[in-house]
Amino acid sequence: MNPHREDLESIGRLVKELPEDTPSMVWRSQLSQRLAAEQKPKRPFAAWLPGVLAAASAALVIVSALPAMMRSTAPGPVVAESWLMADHTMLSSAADLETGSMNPYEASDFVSAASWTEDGGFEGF
Amino acid sequence: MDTCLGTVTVALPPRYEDSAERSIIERCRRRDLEAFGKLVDAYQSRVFGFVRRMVKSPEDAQDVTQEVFVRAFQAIERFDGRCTFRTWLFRIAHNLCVDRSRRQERRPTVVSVHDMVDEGEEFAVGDFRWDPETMVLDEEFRTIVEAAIGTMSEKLRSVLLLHDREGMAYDEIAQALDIPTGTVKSRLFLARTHLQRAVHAYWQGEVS
Repeated sequence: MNPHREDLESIGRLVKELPEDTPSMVWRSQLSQRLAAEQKPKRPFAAWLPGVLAAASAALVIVSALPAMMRSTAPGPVVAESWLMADHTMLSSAADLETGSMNPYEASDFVSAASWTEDGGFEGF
Repeated sequence: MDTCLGTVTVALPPRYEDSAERSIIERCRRRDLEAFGKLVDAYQSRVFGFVRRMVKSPEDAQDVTQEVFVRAFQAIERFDGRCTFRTWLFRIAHNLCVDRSRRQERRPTVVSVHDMVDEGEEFAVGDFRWDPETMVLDEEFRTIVEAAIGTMSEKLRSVLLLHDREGMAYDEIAQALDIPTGTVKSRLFLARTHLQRAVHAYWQGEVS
């Protein structure tokens, strides 16, 4: 028999006879916990489905309603012009009422000045 | 089954018959945790022993060994039975060890046997008072052997451990490590030669 081969085989036996390694009970307990966590089934898609559908519906409603909402709040060109005209008329009337810083009574007196005559006479008094 | 090593008695884990193991695996496929626990009990020491010698740090060895069983439980539905459960489990263990080593960029001290040995040189243990058959593995000698295993490259170490500790056949190791059978043989030869040199050096020192 080849002594070299024999020696190498005895080396193999040497490795085999090294002592066994045993993990601790704590290690085993931790592993059991991890495996138990793995055993729990992942949340099935069916459980997520109602929520996903509700969110999708809400998003759809918002997206579809958005253009209509924007149309109702944004004035068209004709409407805007009429608004501007109305504003302008109102402001002008107010300015007329305040003409020369007169109060309404003074303004009415001012209107009665129409009774002055061309030749400088005054018919009112 | 017990094996007597001098004064140390080691209880080996139970080995399931093929059919028994198959039925346990079938139960595991149905997420039966109790059944998987039996597989853990059967293999935990062997996997832990392999991983401990592959990653060195005992803390890493514990983490990686747990990860091996968790991954196995996650993937057992995909275990197709083309190889034995043991081969499949050790493949997971080996891959995780390699991943861990790469992640930590731990570079093992690679001792090339080619540097120490001339081509065709035969190894004969000079001191024939060393008889491995009857030798009691004392603590010091065990440390030498473990250290010598630890200084091998991962490639040599994995083959040595799977063959000489696990008793796997060449083909089974080739499947587990995804390498050709010839490569398994050559790596085993180099690994044993490296170990023999270390043991020889130790005994030379003891004698002188």
